[in-house]
Amino acid sequence: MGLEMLAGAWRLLGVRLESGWEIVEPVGWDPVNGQKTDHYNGTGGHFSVAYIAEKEGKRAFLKAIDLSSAMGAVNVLKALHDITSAHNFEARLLQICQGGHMDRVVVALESGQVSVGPNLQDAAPYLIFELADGDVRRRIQKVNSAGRLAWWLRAMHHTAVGISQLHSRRIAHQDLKPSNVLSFGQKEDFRVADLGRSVCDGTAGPHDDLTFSGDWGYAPPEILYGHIDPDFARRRLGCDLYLLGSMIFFFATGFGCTQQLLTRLDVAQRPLSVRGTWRGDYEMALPMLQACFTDMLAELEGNLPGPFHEELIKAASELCNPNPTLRGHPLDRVTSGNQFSLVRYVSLFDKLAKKAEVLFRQDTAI
Amino acid sequence: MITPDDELASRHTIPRWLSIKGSIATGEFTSFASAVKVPIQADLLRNAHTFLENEFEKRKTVWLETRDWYDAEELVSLALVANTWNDGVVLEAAKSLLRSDVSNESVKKFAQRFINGALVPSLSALPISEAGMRLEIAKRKRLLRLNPRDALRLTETALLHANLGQLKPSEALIERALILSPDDRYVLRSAARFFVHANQPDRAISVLSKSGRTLDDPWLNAALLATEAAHGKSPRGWKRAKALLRDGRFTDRDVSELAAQMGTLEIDGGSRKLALRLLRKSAISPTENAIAQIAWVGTHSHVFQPEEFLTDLSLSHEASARSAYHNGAWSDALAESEAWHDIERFSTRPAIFGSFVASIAATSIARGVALAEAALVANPANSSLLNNLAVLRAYQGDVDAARLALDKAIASSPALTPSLLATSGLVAFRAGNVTEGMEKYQAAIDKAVQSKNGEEALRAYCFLGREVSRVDLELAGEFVQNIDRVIEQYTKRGQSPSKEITIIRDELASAKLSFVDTSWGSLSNIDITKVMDFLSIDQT
Repeated sequence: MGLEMLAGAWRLLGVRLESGWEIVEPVGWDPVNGQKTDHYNGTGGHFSVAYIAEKEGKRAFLKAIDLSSAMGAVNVLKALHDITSAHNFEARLLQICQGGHMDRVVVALESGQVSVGPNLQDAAPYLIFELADGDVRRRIQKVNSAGRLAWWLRAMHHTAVGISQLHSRRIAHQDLKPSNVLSFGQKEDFRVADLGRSVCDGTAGPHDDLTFSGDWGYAPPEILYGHIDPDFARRRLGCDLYLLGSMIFFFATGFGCTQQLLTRLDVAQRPLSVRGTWRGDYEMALPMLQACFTDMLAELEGNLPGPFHEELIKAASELCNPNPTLRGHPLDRVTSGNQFSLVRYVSLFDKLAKKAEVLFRQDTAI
Repeated sequence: MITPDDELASRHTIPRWLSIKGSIATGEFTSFASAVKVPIQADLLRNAHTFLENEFEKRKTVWLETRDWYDAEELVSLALVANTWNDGVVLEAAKSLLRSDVSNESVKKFAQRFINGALVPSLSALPISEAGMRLEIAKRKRLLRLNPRDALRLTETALLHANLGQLKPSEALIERALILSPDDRYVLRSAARFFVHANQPDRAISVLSKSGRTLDDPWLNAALLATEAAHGKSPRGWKRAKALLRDGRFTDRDVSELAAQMGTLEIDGGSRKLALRLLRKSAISPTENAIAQIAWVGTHSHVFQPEEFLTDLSLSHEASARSAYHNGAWSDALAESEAWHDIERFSTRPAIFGSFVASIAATSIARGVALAEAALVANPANSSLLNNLAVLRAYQGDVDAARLALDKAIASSPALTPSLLATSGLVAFRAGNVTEGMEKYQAAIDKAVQSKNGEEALRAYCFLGREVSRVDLELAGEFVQNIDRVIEQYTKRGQSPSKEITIIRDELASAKLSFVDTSWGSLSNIDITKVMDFLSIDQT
């Protein structure tokens, strides 16, 4: 099937937007037949078509919404509603982020709608983002091993800042994972991307009713065991803290905290959500999860260099503790404190990144 | 002289304190749904399953197209969560990670585990050597610094301390675990067993009673009933316990110890029919502890033969040891005692029983010594164990070591028991002091008679016979005649003597003693008649 038969979102190549952006190349799909060949992470891939747009020599990433993707659904109206409300919600959050001057969150340069024909499906709502070099999962492989620690500690620092910025506006990211942290430019510049699965306290969104809106492969254990706390902060912000801590596991071992945890559980102890047979409540499962968590921390320790492991282990332990009531810095887990504050972790990762940078420079100078 | 602990007046399903690995194998870590109906998180399950299935297929397709390292890692990570790690394509992706120069050591290690199919908990058995246990404790201290909230590891480390006889640090760890997880089954059952071992039964009952989960969990309920019964308290919550047996949330394995304990109490209460029904239920999918309990009840109540209920006694080393003992299979009884000791190294009972068996068979003395010494690590002041060690050391001919152990045993014992006196006699005999040996044995018999314990007096007499016959085989016949007379009286009363009496009697009769030594000269001062007078007094 040729592109002319597809929805407007697939036919934007060469189109110049009113704002002056010209859509110059497709990203991750074949312009001849529309078949996907790759995925540009950090933008959310649901019902969208990716392009590169250019304006005054600056290149950007454009995400166009394919309204025709609702056509195959059993309930077309509902599917259409889901797609548009998700897009509108993301655009609204991006506006909030822009207004909040969140420099560690990938914000939209522009949002709008373009139409390439008279029909409904010819219209394509879009969002334009600054173009990243790639997500940290891919980029880390290109960093030489001597400078890798400093590189990922800086990524942790910037990610913690990004999540903290979102939390300051009561936005819980919910889908923080290596592929949603983007790296920009030659300098170490990392930003949190893809607010498509976020939840915002006080702003109705498409995922408010979902137990978990992020990637289940990274979901915190309490969610996997169906332990749902009705409190926004404990449930959503606590989840973000876990996902942030999980990045330490990823950078040090190549696998996230949830993946590490589940490999240590027998099928009888795995929750039903991930094909296990555990039928008890979460409280009952916690001692066993704590035992696995100890092993994970020990393995993590073995994968971290000496001058850094103590503080990183402590951070990972506090951020990813299987017991959500124990997440966060101990000094912030007091009655008058904010348990989910990331301020101390921002300072910690910054300090460690600087230390690693100094050590790296010393090593390269010799 | 050694006595078997089989003479215990009662046995109850006091929980075993096993390693986490051992407890998982027993079924102690299985889950059950809450009694309060929680709405099934159908949406959650549907969302998770749909996401994982779609994402898995997507990542599989992508990797098959690109064969890229990045996509391989993405696929493998998702397979870990989606529990699809044995999919052929995933295994291929894992192999590519293993070969790739890009993979770091951690990723390669993971990929290797994937390929080996070993993505299951890597729990290991606890070390059994003293040095191994000390090393493991040091290792665990480091782990517990990483995660001080690990109640299971605290409990398991407490077990290592208990195995080394370090009750104070063990208790401190148990208390920490109880604060962290006051309702956890493994923590509570281990704590109960610890407090029973540390002779604090009230605390065992208290921690179990305090937990809200005890009433709703047959594993904990069984522990509470057993602990109360073992310490003379009337069982509470009988109706609740009965309801748990019928509760469809629990498997036959979950209720096996509870049913065994309730059956034991029903037997004691005289409700034979109900007791048999309960014990039969317990035997459907019994734990090792339940098997030992059923076998014990069967043997001691004479109401049924254990084999009627239990198809495979070998699943319990304790039951197998006792069964082998009753069948006179001494070698098996000793081997099973050794295995029984391995699962509860802090407990004295397997070693007391095993060293007794070794002393009777007299062919595996070294193994009996090793067993007693291993149990003494955790119980250095246990008088029975020290006494048994003294006997075995004497049999080995190491009189100095025997005397040392005996002195310790006497110092640790609140009273000079017939066993200790008889062992003093044995050591004297082996030291070549026949007169003193005779006197001590006579004193042992006197003591047993005073306490109206005919069985013990007869046992002391038999052991005396063994020693005397070593010196002068001619006298063996006289001992055999006297023993036969007593056995006859037993038979007339419809009783039978203990197995070891028959064994020593036969040993004397066949005069096949394994350690004949006649270098001690005249035995003119042996007054067998006097010994028999004591026995006659007791028998009449």
